[in-house]
Amino acid sequence: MTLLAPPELSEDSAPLNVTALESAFAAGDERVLREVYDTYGSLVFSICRRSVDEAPAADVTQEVFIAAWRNRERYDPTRGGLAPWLTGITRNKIIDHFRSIGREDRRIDKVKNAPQPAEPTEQQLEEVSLRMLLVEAIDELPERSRMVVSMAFFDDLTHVEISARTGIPLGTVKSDIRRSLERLRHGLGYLHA
Amino acid sequence: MPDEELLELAALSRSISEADRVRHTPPPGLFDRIAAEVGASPIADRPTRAFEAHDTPEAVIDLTEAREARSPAASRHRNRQLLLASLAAACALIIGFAAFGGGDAQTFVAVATNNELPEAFDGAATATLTESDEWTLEIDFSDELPDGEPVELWLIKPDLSDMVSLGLIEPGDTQWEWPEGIEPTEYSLVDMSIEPEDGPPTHSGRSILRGELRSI
Repeated sequence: MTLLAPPELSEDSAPLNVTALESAFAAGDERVLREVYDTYGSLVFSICRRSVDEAPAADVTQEVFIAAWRNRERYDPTRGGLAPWLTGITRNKIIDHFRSIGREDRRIDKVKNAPQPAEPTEQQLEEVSLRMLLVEAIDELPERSRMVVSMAFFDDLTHVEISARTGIPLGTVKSDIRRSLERLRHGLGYLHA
Repeated sequence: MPDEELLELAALSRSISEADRVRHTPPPGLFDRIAAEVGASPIADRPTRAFEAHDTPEAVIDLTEAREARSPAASRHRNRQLLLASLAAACALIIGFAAFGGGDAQTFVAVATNNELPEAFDGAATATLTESDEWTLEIDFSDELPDGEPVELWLIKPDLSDMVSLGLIEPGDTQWEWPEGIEPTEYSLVDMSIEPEDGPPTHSGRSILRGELRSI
């Protein structure tokens, strides 16, 4: 009988934010590969599509999940969600893709003025993936928390103003925002020091 | 949470464009290519349900109407039609879990949270049910339970037709013997509620943590 141990939890990373899917992936349960693909395949593929056409985006997405699976022991769910971990791999694979195109072009001595896809910089890739991760993370917040966070982020309202405008008790507003930020940190990963 | 992080996230959120919200569906057959490459077992082709954090089961329950159904002893349970009507007015919870079709899984995991339960409690817990000689439920709490108020552990059917008490949680308790005759697949909701010491032996409706056991 195999015991799937929950992940070790650091003080600043409560299991509140670690999904069982992330725990199972970290534990190396091969049954989760399909689950992980179904959950994050669209996000990974969509990030790829921001830089390349459909066929190479599919190839890069394939490479991302193969690399993720083969390196799953490196994933630590207490340091962030699977989504930011996978998007980090995605960025590297997109860069590898463009490098391989460059090598191929040199090898076959292509004409220099042939149309080439615009190669994104690492910074551009990181900015795009962070914004797309944040979209996902906000969408996954509970409805009330999503509303409160949106008022704080997009309308730049203070806790007191949100409470007055919504009728939600001030303490609840503060609690919702605090919990939401913890979830967003997990969803973005990069904010974990 | 430092203010800088809040400001950073707020600035990042305001920079989101429509293009950032667009999601493309990967072409059909892509997963098969991945599975073939990594040599995943045929289980990958079994019907599975995509995991989404917000795609929760109807484990969203207001237990306030179930108070009379609380049973005081660990191995006792009562068959009652409890809360079907209250499902519509369900109050809340988000549980993360992985769900799989088929298999002979004998390990169950629940991530119990307090996301939108009415009682304020910042902690969370991971419940793992395993079978060796007997079924054992082990709960790993992220924080200490509320001080000064008894907390009781419950197993509840998702359709709310029955619940079983595993008793009050004493300080340091982490393991419970799974009650004989109780199917983990049926009594899959793990619930922890604050119970007044002189209150009735029914569920108080004051749940602080709840999660659903799923086989893995």
